[in-house]
Amino acid sequence: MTDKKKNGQINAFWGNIFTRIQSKKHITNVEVLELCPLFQHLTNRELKKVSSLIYERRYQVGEYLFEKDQPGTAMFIIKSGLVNIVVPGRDGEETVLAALNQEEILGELALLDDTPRSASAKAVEKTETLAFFREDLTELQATYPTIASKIFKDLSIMIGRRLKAANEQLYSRGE
Amino acid sequence: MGNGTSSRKQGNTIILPTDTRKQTRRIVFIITSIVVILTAGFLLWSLRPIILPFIVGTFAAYMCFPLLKFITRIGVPRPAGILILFGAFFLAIVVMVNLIGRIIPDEKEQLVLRTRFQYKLNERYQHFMGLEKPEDTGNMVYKYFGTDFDRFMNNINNVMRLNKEERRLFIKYHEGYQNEPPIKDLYYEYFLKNIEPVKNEDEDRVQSTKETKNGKKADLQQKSHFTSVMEAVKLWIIMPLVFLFLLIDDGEIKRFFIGLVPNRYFEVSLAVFDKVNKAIGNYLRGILIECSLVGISYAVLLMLIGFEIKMALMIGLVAGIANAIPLLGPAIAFGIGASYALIAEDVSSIMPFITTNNLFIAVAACVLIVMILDNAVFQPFVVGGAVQIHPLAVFVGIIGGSMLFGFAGLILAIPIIVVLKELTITLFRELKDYYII
Repeated sequence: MTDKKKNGQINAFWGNIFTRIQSKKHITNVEVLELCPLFQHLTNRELKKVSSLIYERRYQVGEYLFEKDQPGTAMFIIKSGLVNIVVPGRDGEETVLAALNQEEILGELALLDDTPRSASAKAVEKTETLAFFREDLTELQATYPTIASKIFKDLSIMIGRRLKAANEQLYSRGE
Repeated sequence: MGNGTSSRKQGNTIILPTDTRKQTRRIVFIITSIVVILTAGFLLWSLRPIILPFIVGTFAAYMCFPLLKFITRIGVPRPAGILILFGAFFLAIVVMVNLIGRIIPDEKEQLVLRTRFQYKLNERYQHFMGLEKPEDTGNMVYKYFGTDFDRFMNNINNVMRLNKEERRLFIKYHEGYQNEPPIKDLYYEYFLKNIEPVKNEDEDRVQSTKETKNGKKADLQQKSHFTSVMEAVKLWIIMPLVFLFLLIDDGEIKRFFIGLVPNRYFEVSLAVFDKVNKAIGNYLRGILIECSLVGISYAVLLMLIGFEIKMALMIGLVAGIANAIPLLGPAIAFGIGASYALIAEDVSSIMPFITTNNLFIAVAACVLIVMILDNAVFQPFVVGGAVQIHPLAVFVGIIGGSMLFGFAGLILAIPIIVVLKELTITLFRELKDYYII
């Protein structure tokens, strides 16, 4: 047996033993939330409270996180993986509007009301997400209003920025 | 096969083809569901004695969730809020048990009530049938249906009549037993009238043989009284524990069950859970307030028409609880109120036209007023647009519930039907909204 082959077998052996531990060591939910712009003003204690309300979901390649025209219930934060924001075309082909990576958020308007989703979200890799439910935010408003107000403020800022960007795009098209 | 081989070549793990995985997943889901349903059914049936305390504890926790939210909101830490609520709940149980213990008639009062009821019932029967004097032969009704009515009255008298031991006790209480104030002479006269038919020696002998047997049974029953109290405590101790653990649970149970839901149904299950949770919470809180208001209304109105305070409170309590059973609630309230109106001796009403003779009608008027209040004020303002159930479903539910689970089934049938109805309606509505069906 050559040295290269031997090393490969040893790596595979130790790799198998430590795979789970390494993957678990990755990044905690609190750390993901900390990096998310929606929760950037929360203290560590407040982040822990929010993380206790989070649902962890795992998606396979090709699985939808949500689909266009369905009522929105939760916002998603990508913990790992890659998600495409797509809209179905007339010919049945999907048009990709954006590709979202780790720590990015999607479907955040669902935190405000249950109006239908404007696009679908599809996992293009094995994806781990954290879902934050609208009603949990409403509960937070009743029990921990400080946390909820910080989240709402950051959400408003985020939506405002997008509105500005959309306006600028419209303006530049008009020119 | 080819797919499998190539996938094996790619890495160390064995990756099954998508179709096979889907099939395996479906089989696992079906088998798990069957096992879970069978286990749940078996557990539900085997543990049915603890269902009532469990559900009462759950309902109490449901009532307290908004309070816990309020306590947390005003800045009290959640664990402290839970402790406060648990303490209040425990105190409420102790006070309630104490109050109910005081309202429920003791041994002496039970003997007097039975004697009064039997005497007054016979008196009213004789008056209604025109048999007041010994020489009377009865009116038209008695001539046609007298035999049947007599048989019916005999049965009632047999049930109400005091046995030898109870008669001895009655006499003792009349003379002042166990430092209790003696029973009134008027009731002693009723007692003497009631036992006239039993004076026959033969009957007494027959009864004494029965009573020796009953006496032995009574001894055994007395011996087992302590055991039955301990068993009840053992069963009901679960109630405060369920209450406490549900308050402590900060959505863990919900998260566990939502975690089992496939990705496709994740958002819809969140929406269904939340809407059902809200609807049930509102219904239970509404029903509790409505029942309390109905109970208080009965107690106040019965006091106004001249019922003793103790009796008015007891009837109010029973009628309030019975109000949780739609349609039957007012009937139960009227039944108890009318029974007491039958035996009432002196009526001290603030309305001078109410006497012992028309007290029965006054009770009917009270029930009618409370029913109108309930339908026009309490239900629309307190319960609001809560779930309505078809009367047939109410009857089937009550009868079915009581047949399967006894008293617990009788009381809990309607809330459970409401929960199932709300769950089904919301589930189908949301599944349609999410284009799943």
